[in-house]
Amino acid sequence: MRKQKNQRMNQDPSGPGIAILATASTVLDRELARSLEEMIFETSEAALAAAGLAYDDLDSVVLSGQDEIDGRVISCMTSAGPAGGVDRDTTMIASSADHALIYGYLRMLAGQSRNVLVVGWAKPSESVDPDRAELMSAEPYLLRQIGMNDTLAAALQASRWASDADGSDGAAWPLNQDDLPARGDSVYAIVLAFGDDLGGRTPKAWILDAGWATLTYELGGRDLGELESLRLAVAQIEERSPATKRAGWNAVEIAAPSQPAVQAVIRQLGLQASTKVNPSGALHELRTSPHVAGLARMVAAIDDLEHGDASVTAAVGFQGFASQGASVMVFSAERSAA
Amino acid sequence: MNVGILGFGQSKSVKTRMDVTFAELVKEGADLTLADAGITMDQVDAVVYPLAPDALIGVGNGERVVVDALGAAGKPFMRVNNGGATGMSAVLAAWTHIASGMFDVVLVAGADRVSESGSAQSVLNKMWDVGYERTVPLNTITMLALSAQRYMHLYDSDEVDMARVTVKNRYHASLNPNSHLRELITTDEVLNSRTLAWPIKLGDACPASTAAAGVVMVSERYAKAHGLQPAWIRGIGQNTETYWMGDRVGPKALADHGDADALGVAFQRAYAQAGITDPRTQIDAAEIYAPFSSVELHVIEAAGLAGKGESPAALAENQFTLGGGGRTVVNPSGGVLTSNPIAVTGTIRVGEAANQVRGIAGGHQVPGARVAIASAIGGDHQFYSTMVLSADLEEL
Repeated sequence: MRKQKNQRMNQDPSGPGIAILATASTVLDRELARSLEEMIFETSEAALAAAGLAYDDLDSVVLSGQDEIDGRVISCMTSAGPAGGVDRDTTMIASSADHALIYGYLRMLAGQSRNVLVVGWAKPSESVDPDRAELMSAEPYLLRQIGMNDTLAAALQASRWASDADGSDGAAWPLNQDDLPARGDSVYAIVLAFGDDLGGRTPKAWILDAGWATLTYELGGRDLGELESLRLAVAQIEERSPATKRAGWNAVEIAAPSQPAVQAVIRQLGLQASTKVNPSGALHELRTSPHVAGLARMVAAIDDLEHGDASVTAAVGFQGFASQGASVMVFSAERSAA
Repeated sequence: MNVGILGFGQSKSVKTRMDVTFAELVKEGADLTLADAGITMDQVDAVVYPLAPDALIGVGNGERVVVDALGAAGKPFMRVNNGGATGMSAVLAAWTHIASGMFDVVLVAGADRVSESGSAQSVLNKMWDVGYERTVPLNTITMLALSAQRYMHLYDSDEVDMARVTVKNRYHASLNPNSHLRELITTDEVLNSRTLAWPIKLGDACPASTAAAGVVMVSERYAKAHGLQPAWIRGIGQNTETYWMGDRVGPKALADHGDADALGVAFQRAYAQAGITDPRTQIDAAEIYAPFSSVELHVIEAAGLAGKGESPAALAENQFTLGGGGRTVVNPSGGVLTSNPIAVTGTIRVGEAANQVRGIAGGHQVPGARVAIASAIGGDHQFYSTMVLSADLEEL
């Protein structure tokens, strides 16, 4: 593959100056009192209020939902209004909610927007059958016939790192229930702004860079234990921003398909013992849904900059069965940290 | 940073394709696109995939299944879904990829097989909220029949005005070998066709098409470094309207369902970037998204090619017809009314507009075209995308 370039970032050692003004999240086991649209409205309003902005200050909104989980044929239709999208540029990035934040970042780098609101969600409790929605993501000729879903794919992947001595509590060998991500209803909203146009506001964090890559769909076409998508995503960042070294990451939030996959990420990234991993909670402690799990960890990585002594944090998200795709974003407390 | 359309590929729109799987159809579109651009996937930095409702292909997150068909494995890859505007919103997202400075060459390629999805209108009915408007029952035909009725009421228009749109676009499609509906049709034949939802008749409606399409987009620095002459994107715009049909009628309406004012705003955003101050004298070709004949009337007006309520009279004078003597030819390819593979319909609008200013549109080439516009509509007439293209960066 020909080398990718980012002249803008290479010319500016302090980074591109894209700030996270505010984040807001709504995370519940099961929301019965509010509709998905009400959750999106309230979370978006909370993010804007925290940023000190009004809807009129926004010029674009980036959305991300998953039609089958939402039970809506084009889920951005009902969600655009509650997220403040009416009368402005609205785009839904449907491949994953972490891609939506990356796309919001690209819009800022492109100079397309002064402020971008990114909203990602999943409310599986409103879905008729979330397990069946996952099954629908299996191609219909082979994988759907054998009942493939995210849990089985995670187990297949984990079997690459397992030994015969490993047991299972019945989740799916070699995984135990606590190895799997907890499921729940969640909405996340993030406000991005130019560093030179903050109007006296203090940002929560700065984006240093982002990388993302997707591999073959076929489970038999890749070594599920290798996490090649993650390697490629990190390589993009390190090629563009050599100063953003993994050794400098104080905390890493990882939205892996399973706890053994979290350990595999740690090994592949070569994280030091001093690097905190998932300080916001283990997989089974943070309620989420596969579509928004990566974005949830990105918000957590941003929050980690405020709650601890970290100055640089990173987040890892995965998409598809057994880490077909991976996303990585690196955040800093200071604009010049890179 | 300037961004250009280096290549455009599309398969012929047809009702069904039994000779290929969905992934093979996607590959066909990608291969045609790369061939037109004169590059291989090795030179592509990132891929943006347009796919509207998953339900139309029957696979959730269907973008993941076609990564191999696209040749995108190992590359940055993301999917856009803005309903019917998806094919063009994906092009705008690819513009963003390049304008960010991260990438020089981005591929947008995809496919759809609408007629093979069971009942497309049953699927599209599920776009509306479960508690209210879904039960009306709204679908894309009934929703836009309401819009057509409103337009007729506002501007004293009639079904003949709508039929003239179809007659024009079928003539253009007869010149375009990739169009789905290429047979010429008369005004009377449209008027006598079966009513779907009054005033929309079968002759006023787009087909459910199967096709693949894509574009290759490049940065200015890449084009200069390789001595390339793409069609240049001079302005882009998007805008969003209220979701609720009920908010488009009555004394408290946020928008009028008979007009396309939010699309007009999107056009103005693109025109401001491009330096278009008088669309009626500066645009040679318009590839505008109009899946029903009635929609083209108010989209022409939203684009500023005619005043509100004035497009029927201009159509009656053949002002938007190839060879008709007007300044701007509208939908020289035949438009959405003659081919609608939903996920890539917007991509085709951009590609056709690019081919016009590249001077390679073939039988439906607008002679001497230098400036073209494209637009797309998604959701329930809700998401709007627009673009201005020119033959070179000195134009406009």
